[in-house]
Amino acid sequence: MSFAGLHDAVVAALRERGFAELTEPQKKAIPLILEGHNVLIIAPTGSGKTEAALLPIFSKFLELGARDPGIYILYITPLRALNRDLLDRLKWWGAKLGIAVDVRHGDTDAADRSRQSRNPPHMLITTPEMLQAILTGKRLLEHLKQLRWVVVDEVHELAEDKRGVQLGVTLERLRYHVGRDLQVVGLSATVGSPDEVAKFLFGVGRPYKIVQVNIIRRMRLEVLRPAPGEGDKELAQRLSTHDDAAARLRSIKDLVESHRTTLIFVNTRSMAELLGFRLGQAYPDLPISVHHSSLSKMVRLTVEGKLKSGELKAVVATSSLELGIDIGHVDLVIQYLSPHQVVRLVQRVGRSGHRLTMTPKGVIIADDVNDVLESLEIVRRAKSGLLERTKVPYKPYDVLANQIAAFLMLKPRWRLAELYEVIKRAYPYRDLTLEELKRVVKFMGELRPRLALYFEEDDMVVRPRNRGFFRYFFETLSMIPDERQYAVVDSKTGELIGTLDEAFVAEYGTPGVKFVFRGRPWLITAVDGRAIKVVEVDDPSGAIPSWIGEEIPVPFEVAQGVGELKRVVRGLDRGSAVKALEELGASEELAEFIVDEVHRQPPDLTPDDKTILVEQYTDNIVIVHAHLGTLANRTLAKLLGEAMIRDLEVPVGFHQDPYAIILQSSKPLSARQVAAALARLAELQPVELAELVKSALIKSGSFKRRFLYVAKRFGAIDKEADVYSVSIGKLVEAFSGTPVFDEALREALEQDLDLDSTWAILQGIKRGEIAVKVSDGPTYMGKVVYEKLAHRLEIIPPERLRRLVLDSAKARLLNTSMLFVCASCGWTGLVRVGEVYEIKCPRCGGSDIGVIRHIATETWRGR
Amino acid sequence: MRRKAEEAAETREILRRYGWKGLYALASRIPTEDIQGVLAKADGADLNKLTELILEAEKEHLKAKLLEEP
Repeated sequence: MSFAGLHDAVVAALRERGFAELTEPQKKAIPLILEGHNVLIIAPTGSGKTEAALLPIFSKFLELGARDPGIYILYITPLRALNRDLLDRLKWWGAKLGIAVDVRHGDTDAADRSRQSRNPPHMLITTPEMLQAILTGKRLLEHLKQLRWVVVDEVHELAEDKRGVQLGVTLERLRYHVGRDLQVVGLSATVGSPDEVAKFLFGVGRPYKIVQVNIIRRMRLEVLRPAPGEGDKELAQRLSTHDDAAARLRSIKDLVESHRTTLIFVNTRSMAELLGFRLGQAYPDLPISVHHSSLSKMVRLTVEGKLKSGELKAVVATSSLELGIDIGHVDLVIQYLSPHQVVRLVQRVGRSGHRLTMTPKGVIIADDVNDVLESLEIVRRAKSGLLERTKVPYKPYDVLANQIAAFLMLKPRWRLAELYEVIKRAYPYRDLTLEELKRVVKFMGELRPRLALYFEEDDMVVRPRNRGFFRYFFETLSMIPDERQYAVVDSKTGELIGTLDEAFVAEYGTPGVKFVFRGRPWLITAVDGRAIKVVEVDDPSGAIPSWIGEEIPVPFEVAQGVGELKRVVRGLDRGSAVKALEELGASEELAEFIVDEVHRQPPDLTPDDKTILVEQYTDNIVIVHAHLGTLANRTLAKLLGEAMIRDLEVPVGFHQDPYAIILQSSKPLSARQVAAALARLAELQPVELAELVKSALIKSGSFKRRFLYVAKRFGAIDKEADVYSVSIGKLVEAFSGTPVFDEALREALEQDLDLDSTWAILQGIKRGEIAVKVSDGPTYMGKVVYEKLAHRLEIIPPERLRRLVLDSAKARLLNTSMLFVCASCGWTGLVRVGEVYEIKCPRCGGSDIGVIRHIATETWRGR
Repeated sequence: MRRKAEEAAETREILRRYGWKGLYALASRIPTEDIQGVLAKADGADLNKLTELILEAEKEHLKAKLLEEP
């Protein structure tokens, strides 16, 4: 294999490292980077992307023969704790090639920072947030004048959120400071819109090349719905669960045992805990652990290490294991229940079979008919390359304010036109008008303390001379909101039941709301500062699951695809329907299950992509079956709720999933009233519809939460303010008509609702392309929807709950690792409590042992 | 560094007095200074009882932490 074009020293190091051949992304990307192009490399983790980017950059650096001190290469990663394997690899290359490599992030201590300022490394590894701070240091700014190359890792993680927007503008600021263009290389997992991601990364008008390894083509994907057998019934009894759930556990165990290492992905943290716990109960000898973002860094690192060493055979994980952490060779990915999105399935399954010569293998284990059909539709879309479009945030005003302050840190006086020219080169702000920029700058000048001064006559933006400005800048280096925790306290006993995230409290934390927490339904009786006072109730109906905000939304297109499959199955005879489903990749057993389920609904009342069914479930519950996906159904639910109050003065509460909206009222509610409201909505003009949505949205908790975070990023309210120390309602009113309000509304419309798809469906109803049918009584599908909601709540009987809490606490304590320190011989080592039989030093046998309970990951070198 | 040395000395005392039970309690979220109090109550307790006592103390600690005035 030729390493043509690479510097001789790089080739020699490659040979020493034992590389006989380049991987596919390396073969494609290296020549392009050597030619000086901006390149986006889209390939799975473990395919040698990092070397694909860095080997040609190192070659170019060596050819440059740089003699002046300074930072020539920046490596930006969104992962706060850089994976040690990657760091060791980069340092190895650096040492071999005489390139100084160093890391700077939040945990880098003052001595190291000061050393870096005096003696800059040639290559600096950092995070987007730390880069904000670096760009304010006089010495580091001087060193950055040498910058030529920037590598951005995990671009897909950044492109869709405000961290990414901040980084995009920062790269423009960096180019401005350096005074020359930079060569940028991005590393990404599979994304829906490669060009959109490339534009986001490289900025407006800069040419680029995309290197993509088509991993989907090689994927082996399968959907399973394990049918319960005799053994499963026994297991179900032992675990007091359903037969179906026991069959799924058994199926997971069989798959794990027949593979070397398996990743089991779930969609929420609570599901990860529950599935991990159930698997542990059912099969105590199966070495499985759990990995999610709420676990401590130490626990996560231990799990990753054990997975890599083969000590664990499988890990139940949320998206926390989607990122490029090196966990060694994985030969199977199980997705427990539908992954909801095509891109998520592809990224998750892409974590298996990493050597590129191997085939990634994924199995989805689904439950009811909608879950099975959704999984099949997602597999179909994946195989056809129909991934969800990447949505880069569109000119968010809060990041703009934050970055105006950052520009003022770099240089205290800017001509507004000059500032505008630089910011507009960042892709999210491509359509920003000068008027919009002026409006945000002026607004910053109206805040107290002032965050910018604008002198219209000179067209100058000037840095204010107050401490508040600096405080604002350094407090908003990160675009990730600080989530506070709230205590949930039993109002009768005063006992602490647990904690809830601020996001949930902001949205639902009002007296009278019923929610499910730790397997039981609770009613909020009062909110007292940081305590949510509750009483336990028996009836879980209408309760909101406390993990609601974490759910991955099902896109409109996927839900419509599920509707289309139902329509096709309904329209064919049994044999042809089974055959059609088999062609989609379903087994005969699975196809028969789907056909049976679809045929249980009366033929003229089957909801699908062309039919909305409005069903009278009980006197005060109406179910609207609409295959519109999570966000469009939420939009329609809000519109229906608003319309019912306006037109009929009937207050209606609602729950929705991607396939149905459950409307519930304290008064009688009729399906015909709801159908009529739907017909009236279809007659509205776009402006009227948008107004109605806006009016419903700004009353919602989700808007208030978004408003709070936007206001903090703007510096309009104190960063320490929490949802109960301020009256958000009054704040929203006070900021109406300001950029803060407009940005919160834009963000909520973009993230929480899908107005375009809802509008398209209402137009379909108006034109008669979508039929609205009414059932005056309950139907089979209604029962499935209603029971699924109850099932999702995961109510657990109190006695079993007590045992569960105790068992999981024991598992947690036994699994905790601490650093042992021997006072006699000085030995230190990381030890897991469950593995200790005697408190004795393994080196000198002494018993004078102490422990360090919480140690920083970076200082821990053993595993 | 000094803080770590102090912590090692403090926990050494707990491990010397309570052995494995002390280690088990140190794995919890209870502050080190409160651990001896919990272990004193757990004299003769089995693992379930000890876990219950730890859970109770953890809750009290968390409650105090969350509800203290900012």
